Amino acid sequence: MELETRKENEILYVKPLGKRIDASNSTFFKGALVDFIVQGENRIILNLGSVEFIDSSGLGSIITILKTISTSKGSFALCEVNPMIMNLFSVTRVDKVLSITSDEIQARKIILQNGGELEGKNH
Amino acid sequence: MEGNLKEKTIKIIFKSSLDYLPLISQASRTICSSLVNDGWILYQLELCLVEAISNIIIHAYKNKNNKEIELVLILNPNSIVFKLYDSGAKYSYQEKTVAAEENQDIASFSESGRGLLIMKKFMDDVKTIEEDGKNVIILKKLINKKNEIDDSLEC
Repeated sequence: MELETRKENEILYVKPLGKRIDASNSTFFKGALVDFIVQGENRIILNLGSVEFIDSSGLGSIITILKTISTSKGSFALCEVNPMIMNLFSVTRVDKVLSITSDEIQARKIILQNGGELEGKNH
Repeated sequence: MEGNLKEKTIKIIFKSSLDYLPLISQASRTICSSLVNDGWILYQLELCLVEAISNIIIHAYKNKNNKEIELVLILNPNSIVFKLYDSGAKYSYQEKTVAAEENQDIASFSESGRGLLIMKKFMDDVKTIEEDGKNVIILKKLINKKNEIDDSLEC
């Protein structure tokens, strides 16, 4: 799975370029995002604009990422989520705990509203 | 000619490797699209199949990728049935309790175990049996106009 990343104003933007996050690649996906958090990234926007299919393991990975970043008092938002994946989030009630927006601009607003401490930085 | 002329059965045998998951699920989705036009219904079908296959690979075969899984797709005008056969360890599908997640606290959300919930939510019948010494999981979804409307995508 290829991940496109960029950093803007202390926010890490991550975009999986593949169409699927499922049991065949969710471990890699989760590991990569958790590594970012361990390395100090605690403001992350996950753009799912290219993703067309997520299964329960992909869902679980997103929950792990959210839990991990929450532990480090960070902030995490999703954007450009396919309507069918949104339906899956709704059925599994994961949408109740995820910040999900239409695009990266809105996601950035959520991240800034939610704070997220910057490690090693003076506010 | 015997049998239901409109029923079509397709059998696919593949190795128990998660690497096969995208290929098998997308192939199955394409097959199902011969009966189903609704993208959300197709997503549900593909998702449930993926969940079942993942469970077999992870739990029945303990991630051994040199075993065999047999998928039988049975297409009828009013239903699609997936039958998955494996000769791995017997395992019980533990239904995930969702009560803890209803309090909307991320700490209470588990990171796994939603497979059965998803299958039961989206399929009309889910059952496990033993047949000729193999574990079989049977997933059935009714395909008709009313079903497609009820499951229609809400944006």
